[in-house]
Amino acid sequence: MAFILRRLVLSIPILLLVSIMVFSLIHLIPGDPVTVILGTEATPEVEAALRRELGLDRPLVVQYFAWLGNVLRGNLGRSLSDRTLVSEQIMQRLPVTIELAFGSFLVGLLIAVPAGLLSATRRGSAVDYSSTMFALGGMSLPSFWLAMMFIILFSVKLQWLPASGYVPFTENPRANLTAMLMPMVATGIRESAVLMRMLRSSMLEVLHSDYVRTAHGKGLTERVVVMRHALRNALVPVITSSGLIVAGLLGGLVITETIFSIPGFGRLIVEAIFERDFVTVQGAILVSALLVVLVNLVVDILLALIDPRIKTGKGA
Amino acid sequence: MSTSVTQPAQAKRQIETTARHETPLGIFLRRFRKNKLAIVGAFILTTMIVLAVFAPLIAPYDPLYQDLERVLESESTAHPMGTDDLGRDVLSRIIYGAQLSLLAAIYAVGVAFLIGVPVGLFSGYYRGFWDEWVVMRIVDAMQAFPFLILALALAATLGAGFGNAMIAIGIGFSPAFIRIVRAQVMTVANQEYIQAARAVGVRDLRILLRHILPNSMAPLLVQTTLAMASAILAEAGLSFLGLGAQPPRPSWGQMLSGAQGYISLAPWLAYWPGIAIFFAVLGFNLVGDGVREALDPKLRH
Repeated sequence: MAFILRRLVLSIPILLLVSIMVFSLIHLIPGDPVTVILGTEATPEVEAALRRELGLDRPLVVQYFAWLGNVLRGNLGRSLSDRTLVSEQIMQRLPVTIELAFGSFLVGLLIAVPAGLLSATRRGSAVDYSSTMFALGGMSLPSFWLAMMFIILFSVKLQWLPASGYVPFTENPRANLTAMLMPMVATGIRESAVLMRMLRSSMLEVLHSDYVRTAHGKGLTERVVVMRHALRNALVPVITSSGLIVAGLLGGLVITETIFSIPGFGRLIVEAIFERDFVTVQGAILVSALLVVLVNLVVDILLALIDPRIKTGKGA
Repeated sequence: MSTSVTQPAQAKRQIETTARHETPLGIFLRRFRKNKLAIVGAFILTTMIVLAVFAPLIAPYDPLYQDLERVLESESTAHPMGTDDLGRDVLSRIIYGAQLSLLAAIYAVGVAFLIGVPVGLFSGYYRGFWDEWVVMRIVDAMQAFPFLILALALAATLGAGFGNAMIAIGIGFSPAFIRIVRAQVMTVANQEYIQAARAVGVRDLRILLRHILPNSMAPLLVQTTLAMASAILAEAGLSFLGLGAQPPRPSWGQMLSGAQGYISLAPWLAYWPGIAIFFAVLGFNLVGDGVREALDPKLRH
């Protein structure tokens, strides 16, 4: 319990700094943000109104705390382009991206776990060699290019899958999955490369540990040793880096969603950027950072509950 | 394999190498050369550098020249990679694109280096309140942002353009550089020769620059090479979204974005820029892995 409390307290300064960074973003705009957002043709009245809405007419510190107060109450402001609530927009778009992220991660695991296991247990074999090559290739491949190649092959040439046309899962699960399959695989392949490299090296380390040798010594079969004893511990580094994985997925999906015209969270950010809708951009990147902090927090707590050694170690 | 009977010539060579007292650079190069994948990576990078530097001599056409009579032509002898929607030669644009990708790698990592190295050095050397409660918490907070989203938001705020995109990517990379330098400084700073230098009254700045920094280079070198791979990917991504290099400057990411509109009409426009990005990133990744293994052979699994 003390560990969980300590961990919670430790994330407060991070969250505060995150909020300051997000808040400062609008002040990084070179020149007058109001002119940048509205263009040069706006009337002085419109400019003054926006200045007031963004709070730019008040001292910086006052602006920050007013903004933070709103954020803490769940108010991320109104979109500059269509006046909708930013929080509502995000809540609407986020589930789409979460579905995509889960799907991509699943594809990643489905490739990475068997490939990582086989290449670690049969080190130096043809399987190991080809999995390592696959991982190197996958890490070097721009996932948005892979997405385009998928569209050319499966949508244009073979006409098996649609290149766009998102349908909500609740409306038509089948159509939803058909539209999400290509984006999930395109993002998942890159994910699998990263996961496979991680898994292979941690698996190799675990396989050389004493308890695995003991397990072999007891006469357990290779299968039991690998699946029941080694894999469990080899997955720990993967779980520890969940925050990084989520961050990578959220970032990567920005482009994937653009290519497949999926109305997700990433697409929201890109659209907002091109509409110079900085209030939405601010809200969205704040939420993306919050998600990463939250995942890190949950993972740390879960790991502490599973592995008592972590609690006694230094948290920072 | 090497357990067979030692041949006289081989033994002689072995004695000579030990006697010659190989320099660290010599050891590094010998190990690096033995790694086939690293050599492939070095070959890819050399090709890329040659293409970038000698682009005006190698490229068959001006990358900006528009031949509106020959729009969207597929591969031919005159245009081995076809022409784009404005009749520009794709091969020439790919060759010139190498310039921008290399510049992206150098600029973005340069920014990360300029921020990360001094901050990491001072933070790790002086420690205390600033290190623990200011620098490291900022680093934590920055790492909470998904890298590409942070880069996107920064690039958009600073204004679309190649230079701003590189600053944005570089800032996104800097936390990793700070962490690596700081960790390295902390291990080196406790060693006896540093304490000895301090005892004889060498100034802190001199200790940092002459003794600590050179001994922290190994992991920094690995990080630099691998970050260059990510920088090329990130630049391509930002340019794809229209926030990186602006047209008509030939950039691979932006060529892909242009190809999107002609995906059923002229799919070849999408093939080549992606293949170019793939090889560039692969080259840096292979060299990065090679450098890592050559610096620390124990790591090699």
